[in-house]
Amino acid sequence: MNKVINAMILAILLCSSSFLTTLCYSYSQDIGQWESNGPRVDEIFFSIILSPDPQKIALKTGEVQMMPDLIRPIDIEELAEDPNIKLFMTPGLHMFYLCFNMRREPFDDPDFRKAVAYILEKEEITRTIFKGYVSPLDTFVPPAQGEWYNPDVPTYPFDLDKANEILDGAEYILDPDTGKRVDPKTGEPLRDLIFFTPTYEVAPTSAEIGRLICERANEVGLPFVHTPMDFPVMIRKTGDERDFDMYVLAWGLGRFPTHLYTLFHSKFDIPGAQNMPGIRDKELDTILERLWYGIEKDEVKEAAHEAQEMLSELVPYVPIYSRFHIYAFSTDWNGIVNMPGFGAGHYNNGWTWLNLHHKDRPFGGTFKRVLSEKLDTLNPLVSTSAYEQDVMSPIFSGLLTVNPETMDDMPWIAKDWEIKEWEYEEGEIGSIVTYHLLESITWQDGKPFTSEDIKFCIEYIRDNQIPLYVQSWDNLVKVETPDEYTVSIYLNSTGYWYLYTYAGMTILPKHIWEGVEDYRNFRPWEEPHPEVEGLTKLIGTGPFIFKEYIPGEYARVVWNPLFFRNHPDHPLPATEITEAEQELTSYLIPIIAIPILGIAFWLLYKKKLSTRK
Amino acid sequence: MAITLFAVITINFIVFNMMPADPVSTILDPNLPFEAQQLLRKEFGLDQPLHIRYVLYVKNLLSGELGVSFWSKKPVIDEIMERLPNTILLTGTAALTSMFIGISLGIFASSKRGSKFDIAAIGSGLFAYGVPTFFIGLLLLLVFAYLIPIFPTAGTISRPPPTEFFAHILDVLWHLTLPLLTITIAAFGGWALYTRNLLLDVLTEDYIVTARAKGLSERTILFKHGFRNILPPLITIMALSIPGIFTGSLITEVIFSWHGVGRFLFEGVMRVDYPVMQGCFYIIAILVLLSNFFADILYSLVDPRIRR
Repeated sequence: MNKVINAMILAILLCSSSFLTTLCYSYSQDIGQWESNGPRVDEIFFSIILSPDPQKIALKTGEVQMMPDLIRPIDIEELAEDPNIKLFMTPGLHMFYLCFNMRREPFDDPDFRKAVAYILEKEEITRTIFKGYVSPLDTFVPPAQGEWYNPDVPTYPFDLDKANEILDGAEYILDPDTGKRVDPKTGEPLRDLIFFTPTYEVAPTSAEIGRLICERANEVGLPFVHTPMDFPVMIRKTGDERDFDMYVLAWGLGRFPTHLYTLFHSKFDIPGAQNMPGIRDKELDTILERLWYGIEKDEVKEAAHEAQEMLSELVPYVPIYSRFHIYAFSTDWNGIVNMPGFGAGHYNNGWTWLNLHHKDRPFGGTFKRVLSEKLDTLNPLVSTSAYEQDVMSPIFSGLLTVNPETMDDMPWIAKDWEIKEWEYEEGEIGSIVTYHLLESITWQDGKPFTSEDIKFCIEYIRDNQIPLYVQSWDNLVKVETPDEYTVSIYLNSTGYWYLYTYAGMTILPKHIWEGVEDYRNFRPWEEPHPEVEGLTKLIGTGPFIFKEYIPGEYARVVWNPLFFRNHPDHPLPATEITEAEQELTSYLIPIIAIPILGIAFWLLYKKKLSTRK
Repeated sequence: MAITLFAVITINFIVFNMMPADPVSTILDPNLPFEAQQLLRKEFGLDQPLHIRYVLYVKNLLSGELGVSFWSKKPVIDEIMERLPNTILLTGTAALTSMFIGISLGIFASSKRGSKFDIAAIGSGLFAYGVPTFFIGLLLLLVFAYLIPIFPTAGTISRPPPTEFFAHILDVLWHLTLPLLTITIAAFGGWALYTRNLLLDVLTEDYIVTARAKGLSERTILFKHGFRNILPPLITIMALSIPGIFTGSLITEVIFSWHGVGRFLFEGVMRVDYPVMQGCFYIIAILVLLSNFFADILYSLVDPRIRR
């Protein structure tokens, strides 16, 4: 089976880019075999290796067994050729786009924006710059968002004649003397239109895309000027000051299309908020409000599809490409689940970590994976880094999870859930989100997990006004626990998404956190558990227990024997998990060999000198 | 010195707070609500007027506090102390080895001017000086971690590390070898060329001719009359390289995933983490001042004319 998969990947990689793109999508349908019990391995090491070349060497020499999120085509091609490594590729929840400043002329003209959309060579960009390891994107929701993605929207394939036709039709006439098109309002040649990108040093592909677009724009008489700039400066100019004409950048997206609301609703056209293009369209706002506040899935789905159609007509952005998530694993390991949208090794894909096992034994063993950054904090309430999520996600369990094949919601800690409306004031409608919990769940220190933990957690983040969880407390009225295994959250606003706001929240143990007054400076991973030896205060209900973090070196998690979905066949460890130590010879030989060689060379040199004399 | 230090503190504050970016803007998340961004700014203390932030900053520095990192929520001094042993081990050792090798090569090359040894020393020195550090690092990794896999690819210790003390020391040395070689190779050339040029100038002086006429051995001329006279400029460069031992070597740290101060400082700049930037540059400024001070003292020790 592995050989077949490898052959498929190789075939995919050898294909031409456009064909490759199609194949990659079909390949990603095969997510691998999985079950909802686990984990099978005894421990996971997160080995911090910062740059891709050493990561690749560590993977090839067996120092680690997984390299995450490959980006550089050269790495992908090299690893695809290695018979001991298999690649897992899946379309990502990602959008790279060109944004116009619609507050300024000529970008306030929809015809002008549409003409620019026609000069974007998306196929060429994916083929030449990315060697086919990204997918051209035409919509404001990437295909990886599944049912929320609307493929039936107007598209703008590369067509310079069409661009010329639209510009001519809108009276942006080409001035033969200057070679520039004329502004129909002033009759003067268009001013220089500044195109921001990050610098070549920081983001070479983005800078190159900017250069390509400007080159094509100049061919149709549009005076685009490519201006690479320091990244923080670009963020300030586009985000806070709105002082730009156009720029390219990327968003990493979630599982749902809620970004449409935060990126394109007119209420976010204020400095610091994320409506960068400054789009203000009442009809679109109405649709986006249905998407944000709607309580029925069908209703919000319809709104998401309508919003995509409308945005494709209004063209505040031109979506350019969406990248793949590519993970490399050693062929010695099986049970890898290639979850659409997130990829095989992403922190939102817990299935791989439940099912992963060595090919020669179904249970036990140590798995070592690369972590591309060091960790600043393992406090769930302040962490913003994906690398920290990589380590923390196996420690905690969400209320719901996602079926990796269908991408449907799946019961996890909550066996059942519902969302309904209520009248919180006369004539004012809010929503109640209720979760019914499994009764067999315990924290990693053996204490029972109950609805009181969820109530405490939500009230704690509300009382402390924790910024990263603002959506969880901003519209909160109260939390009720009718019994130990039912929790109801009352909100003064409606929205289908509240179900997921709480379902994906990290739930903290009340008996640990209730004494924490300053959550910002609490370092649970460094404080020993008050009762259970060997544990820290960083405990959850997930499949792995946090064991240690050596700053800048590695983090380690071990199997949680109390996990509520433990594999029935996983034998309990007879003793402490043994730590594999380096054999002394492995470092004695090179350390001693180098000075000996040096001395030998020196003696030879001296001997040569004395012979001459 | 106090006035210089105060000026440095003030410039540190002004430069970093004038940077056209703020820490919250480095979080690129379309689902991070505007309200959350505002709350984060408040949490970082960025909602305060600039002059109040300046007073707080000076007050903290005077009481020996470098502040708390926005991102790790850990005191900057703790963050630095966590990395400093690794940094000093790597860059300190590398400074010593590169100085020793470079200066030795420079001395012998100048004493055998025009010989094969001299040409080889200049050639290797120029080559090592010109080749980018990342290239040397990657080449060493390719050869000694992949083709002949006798050294590890990353870190300061094995993952997991050995538990016995002696084995632990050996383990650290094993991990140190490749990054140390990288910096030493990248840095020895500069020392060799500089020493050779200084010595060649000195060896043409009249007092050297006099020494030779007196029948002194070449070894005595070279070390007692030649090398002694180039010590003041060498000490200046050595003193100026001391702050570099603290700031670490960013590229080598990244290639070998060495947990050091260099990368910490770089990340502080990239994330617009004001306390980290201000704290690190404050320490660097102090080190520069102290290094210059010690260099002045050393001058007087090696050159009696200055004492007069």
